[in-house]
Amino acid sequence: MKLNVTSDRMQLNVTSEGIPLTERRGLDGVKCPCGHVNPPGTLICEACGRPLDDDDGLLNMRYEGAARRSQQKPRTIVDHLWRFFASVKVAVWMIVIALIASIIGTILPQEQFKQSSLPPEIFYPQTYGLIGEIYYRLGFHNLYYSWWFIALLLMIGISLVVCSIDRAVPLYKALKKKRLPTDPGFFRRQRLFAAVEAPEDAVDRLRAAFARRRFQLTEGKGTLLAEKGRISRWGPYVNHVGLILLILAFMLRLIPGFYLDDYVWVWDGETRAVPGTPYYVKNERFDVTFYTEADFPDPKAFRPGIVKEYATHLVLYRKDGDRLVEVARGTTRVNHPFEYEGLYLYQSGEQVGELYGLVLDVWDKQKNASVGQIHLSLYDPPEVVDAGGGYRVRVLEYYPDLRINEKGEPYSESPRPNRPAFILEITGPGVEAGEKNWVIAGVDSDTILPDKRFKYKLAGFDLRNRSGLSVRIDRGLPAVYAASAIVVLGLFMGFYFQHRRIWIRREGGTLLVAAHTNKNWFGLKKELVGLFREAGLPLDEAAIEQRRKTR
Amino acid sequence: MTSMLQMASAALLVAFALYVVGTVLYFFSITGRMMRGAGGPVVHARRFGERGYLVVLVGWLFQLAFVVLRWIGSGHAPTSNMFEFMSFLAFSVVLAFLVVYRLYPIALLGLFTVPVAVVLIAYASVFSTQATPLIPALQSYWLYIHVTVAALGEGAFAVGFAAGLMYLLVAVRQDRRSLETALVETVLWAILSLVAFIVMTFAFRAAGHEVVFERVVPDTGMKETTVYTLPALIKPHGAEKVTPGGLEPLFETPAWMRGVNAGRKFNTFVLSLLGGTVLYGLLRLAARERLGKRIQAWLQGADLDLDLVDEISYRAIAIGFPIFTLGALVFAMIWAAEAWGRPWGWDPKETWAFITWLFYAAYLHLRLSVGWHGKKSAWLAVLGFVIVMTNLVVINLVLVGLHSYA
Ligand code: HEM
Repeated sequence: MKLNVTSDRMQLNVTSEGIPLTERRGLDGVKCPCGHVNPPGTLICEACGRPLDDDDGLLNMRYEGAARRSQQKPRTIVDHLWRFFASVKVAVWMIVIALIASIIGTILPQEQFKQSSLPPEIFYPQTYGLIGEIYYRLGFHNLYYSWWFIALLLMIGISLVVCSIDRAVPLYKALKKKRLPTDPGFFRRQRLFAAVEAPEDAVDRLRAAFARRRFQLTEGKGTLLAEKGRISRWGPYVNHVGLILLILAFMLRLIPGFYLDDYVWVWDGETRAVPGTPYYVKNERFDVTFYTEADFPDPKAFRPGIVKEYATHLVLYRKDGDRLVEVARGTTRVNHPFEYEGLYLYQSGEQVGELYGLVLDVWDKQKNASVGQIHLSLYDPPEVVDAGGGYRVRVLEYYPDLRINEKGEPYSESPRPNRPAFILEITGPGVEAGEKNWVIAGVDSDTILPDKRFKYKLAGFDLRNRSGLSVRIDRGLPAVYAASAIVVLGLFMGFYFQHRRIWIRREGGTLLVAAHTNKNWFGLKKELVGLFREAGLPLDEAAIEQRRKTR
Repeated sequence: MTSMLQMASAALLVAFALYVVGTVLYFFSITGRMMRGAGGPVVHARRFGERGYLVVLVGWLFQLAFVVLRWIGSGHAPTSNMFEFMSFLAFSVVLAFLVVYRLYPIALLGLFTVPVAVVLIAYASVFSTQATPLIPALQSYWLYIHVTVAALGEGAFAVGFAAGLMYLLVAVRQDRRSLETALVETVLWAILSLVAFIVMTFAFRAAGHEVVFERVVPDTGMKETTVYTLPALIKPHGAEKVTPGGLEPLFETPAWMRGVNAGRKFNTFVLSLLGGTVLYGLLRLAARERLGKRIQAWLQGADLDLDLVDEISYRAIAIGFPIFTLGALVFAMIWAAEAWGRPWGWDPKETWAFITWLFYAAYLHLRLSVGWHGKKSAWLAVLGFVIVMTNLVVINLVLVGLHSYA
């Protein structure tokens, strides 16, 4: 932002975009020699189109040279803030900072993707050494959810709002009031300009050619304006509004009840509460299917063990008093989630053939014969099991991860069955009072308590499949999609249409032709040549003056 | 099905050959000007330019046949692994070229764009070309929609890159050394490194070169083997060479580079850069001046309108941006919501799509509102495509994420 004071009340101002602003003749407006008084900051006279600067170069046609709020002299804090957020330079800086931060965030895995149970303060230095330590200390391990990154995105959002208002208003005014410039300076300083000798009826012939090419015509004060593709000018604003809505749509998840993100593991045949909801889910069966050779388009490429599908057949219940009432059943597969009234269950974890329980042979040492077999779940052990022959086994204690403390008492280190141990009591014929015994994984119970009548021999493992379900509610999703649609719509409007304007004016025997577009000058030039050809007025491409943009 | 796949491979080969021929024709449309031909240089350039266009168009139709046959043959859109994706990207680059060339028919654009497709197809063929059925994570029609649309946008960015590079080769002053001339040389060196990688891969594969390394994984005690098909300069961290004889590796991969085959990838990367350096050195010795300077002298004959090249580069990006946004962000969000239960999760691949998108947004604003035209804009167009390729190559192969094609 440069501000050159040339005299007490006259300023030559260059905006942050490097566009020279006109001299401001007093705070109340810029007076054009044609008599019209324009708002301060105006570049091109609203009435006659006369350029209001003393320059000779390409005329800046942005917003038709109309003034924007951010270009007026800031007076209050709000003005200063407005100016800050309305600056595209500032916006680009913020975008670049967000971009660089995002890149840094992908150098090492984010905490959520680190695939390790170690806490981050240990994981990063241990795995990546000093780099990891620094990365963690600076908070890059959780970058995208850090307050400053989110604040940055929000600031870009604010900038979007301010920028759009700052420019949409003058643009709207400028486009609504179609201007018919009369001043030759306006013509001469357009990027495409031609002055051609033309017959009397040239304008009439051009009018017909314009109509054939679907231009809209406006005429007055001796000037003809042909225009098309105006919709393109609104593209950026539609796009920006979409982006703001997108940010807001993502913020909907802050509303209680709008968003839920949880996870539950369910064994085959098991029913579990769905966290965060009043529902229960039963995993009736979890299937893993593999591709066979016949599935392979090219049999030579066949390798066994490539998974074709993970699917959980499930039933959803709601608790009604003590009973579970079925509300829905179905299947969830990868890419095809199960849905019930906005609750989604995603197939997102698979454990096949995991140890679920132990199968024990209950051995009567007196009779030297087996009484029967019992199954003990390591996750949800039963209270009592029937062992057969009138014997019942009661589970008195269960230690999934057995340890002994200093006083010699058993306790469980964790809920994970790393070293499962049971205290069992058997009752039945001959042991009416019951007989207690220890069962510790991997240890023969005889070695601990050899005097007991019964012993438990490991007869097998109960292996089962376990399905991991992501639990999601995201009521903001439709809003996210709608906002995205607006973003894309705006982009297509802006980039697949071009606003083309052609001004024609007769000055004596000469036709002044000027043309402007927001993109695709090459196409506009071709269109001009084509139009003139169709009107029977040869216009050589070389006769069109094209002001260079680049050096 | 097998016959379909064989026909598909044949079609791709023909397409590849035609792209090469097209490049040569575009080459003649420029250099041939100096030769005396009927009708003078302008007519000559136009004639060869049109022939080139026709050949490339036919080549593209063959590649279209490849896409269709491979789709039918494998039962899914050919965008599911690196080979399929990279060749599809080449397909989009040529499509974008065919469209942009209709808007701005300058032969030089063909000379710079079509080779991008040639390199991409060659690069694609480095990876396994076998057709395999889709793993569950990819079984969604959003895969087709998301990947193809994103690739189409990236194809347009590639044309923006080619035009940007063209602009720089002409516009950067080569009469004295500067930061800009150094950057031009760096870009050429990077391109040569990619070429070196492709050439080496095929050469050593043809020779059946193989070096096996073994290492004991500390946590599990299990043995892990890695097979190098390129000469082993750098061995995997903590591994021992098993293959007898041959070169002993000089270095070891640093410990923090983890993930599948980190050592091999790092070795390949370093070798490619070395190969690129050798190629660059040889060319430079032959040219006896900066390659950029030599190319510039040679392009002088083409008599380019720089304003027009600037506009082409911008226009290609402007055409690509909405498509890229739709494919790489919007469709990606829809698919992610369906597959993983969240529209956005900052997985490395997603993040890089976001980075690419932010970059081009910055490009557009700098151009439109801050007035960056010409060289500045061209540098950004080049850098933008470097980011696109970083996403496709580095992130896919090096960083592990949900998307890794392994
Ligand atoms: C990352 C988010 C953004 C995206 C994707 C985006 C996208 C766009 C696009 C595609 C255009 C049209 C460019 C062209 O026609 O060549 C545009 C124009 C523009 N953008 Fe953004 N924009 C973003 C953020 C912003 C922000 C934060 C500001 C605020 C300073 C801003 C201010 C503008 C302005 C002033 C224009 C020119 C509009 C006109 O033609 O009058 N943009 N934007």
